[in-house]
Amino acid sequence: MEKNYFTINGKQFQIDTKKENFLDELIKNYLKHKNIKVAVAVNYELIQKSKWKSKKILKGDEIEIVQPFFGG
Amino acid sequence: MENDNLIIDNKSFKSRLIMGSSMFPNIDVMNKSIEKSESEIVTISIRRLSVNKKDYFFDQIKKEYTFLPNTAGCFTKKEAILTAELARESLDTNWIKLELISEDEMLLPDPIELYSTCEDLIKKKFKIFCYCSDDPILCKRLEDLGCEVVMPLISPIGSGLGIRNEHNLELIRSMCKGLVFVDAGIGSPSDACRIMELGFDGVLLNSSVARSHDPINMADAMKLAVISGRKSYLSGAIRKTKKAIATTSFKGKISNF
Repeated sequence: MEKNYFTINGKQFQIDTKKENFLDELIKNYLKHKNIKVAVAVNYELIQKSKWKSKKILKGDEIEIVQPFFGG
Repeated sequence: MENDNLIIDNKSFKSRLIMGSSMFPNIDVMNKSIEKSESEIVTISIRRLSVNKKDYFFDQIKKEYTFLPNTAGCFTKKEAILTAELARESLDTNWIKLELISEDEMLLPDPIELYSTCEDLIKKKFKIFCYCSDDPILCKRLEDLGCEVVMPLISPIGSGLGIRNEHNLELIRSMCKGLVFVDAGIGSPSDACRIMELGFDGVLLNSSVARSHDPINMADAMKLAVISGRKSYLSGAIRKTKKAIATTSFKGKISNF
C-alpha cells in the first residue's frame, strides 16, 4: 500500500497526517452520516462501537465495515 | 399433536423450516416465499457495506423474523471467528450458523478446522448452528462439544441432489440426542419430508425454493412437507415386513370354492 493511506472495504483513502484520525469520524464520513447499523473491524479485529471514538487510525490500517445481507 | 414447538436456546418456534434469503428472483418474491413458508427463522450473511446502494437490508425484509447470520464463504478459523463477531455486533445475537468450507467447487465443510473453530466460538459464548459433513461421529463430537444445533448436509450446497446416504442420517439421529437439522442439498419437498420422518428436528433450505420455477408455491410445498414428515415421525410409521399382512380379515368371507 502507498504511504499515508488507509483502506475502507478495500478502497484506499488518504490519511490526514496533520491531525489524529479516529475511527468514529471516518465511519461517519464513509456512511455519509446515514444512520445505518454496521459492524467494524480494523486490521481483522472487531472494534466494538463503544471503542470507535477512541480508536486511532494509522496509515496502512485496513478497515472493514459490514452489515447484514441476503444469505443462505 | 399439541404444542410440538421447536425450542432453540430457550426460544420457542412453531415452524421447523428455516429459510435462506438468497438467490430469489427479486425482493418481492423472496418476501412472499418466506411468508408462505411460515418460517420464523431466516438465514442471512454478513457482507461489506456498499454505500452506493440505496436499499438497506432491513428495509427490504420483515424485522419480525429471528435472523440467523452465517459465515458463508469462510475458509479459515480466523475468517469465521471475525465474521461471527461482526455478526454479533451488528445483530445483537449470539447465534451463528457456522460454515467453514475447505474448497470452492463442492463447498464441503472442513471438519478439522470446523471442530477447532467451534471450540473457540463456544469459549466466546456463541450459540453455534454447525453446518457439517454427514459423518455420524463428527456430528456426535460437535454435539458433545456444545454446539446448539448440529446441521449435516445431505449433498453439496445448492446441488439439489437430495439424500445421498440415508443410513448415515439414521445413525446421526440415533447418536445425537440434541437438536439436529439438515442443512444443504435438498432438492424437492420429498427430501424435506423424509428428513423429518427420520426424526430430524428441522430443515434449513434456500436454493430449492429460491431457484425453483415458482418459489412462492415451492415454499408452500416445503412447509407442508416438513409438517407432514414431522407428523409422520411422531405418529410412528408401521414396521416394514417382507410379506403381506392382510388389511381385510379373512374371517366371515364366503367359503373357498
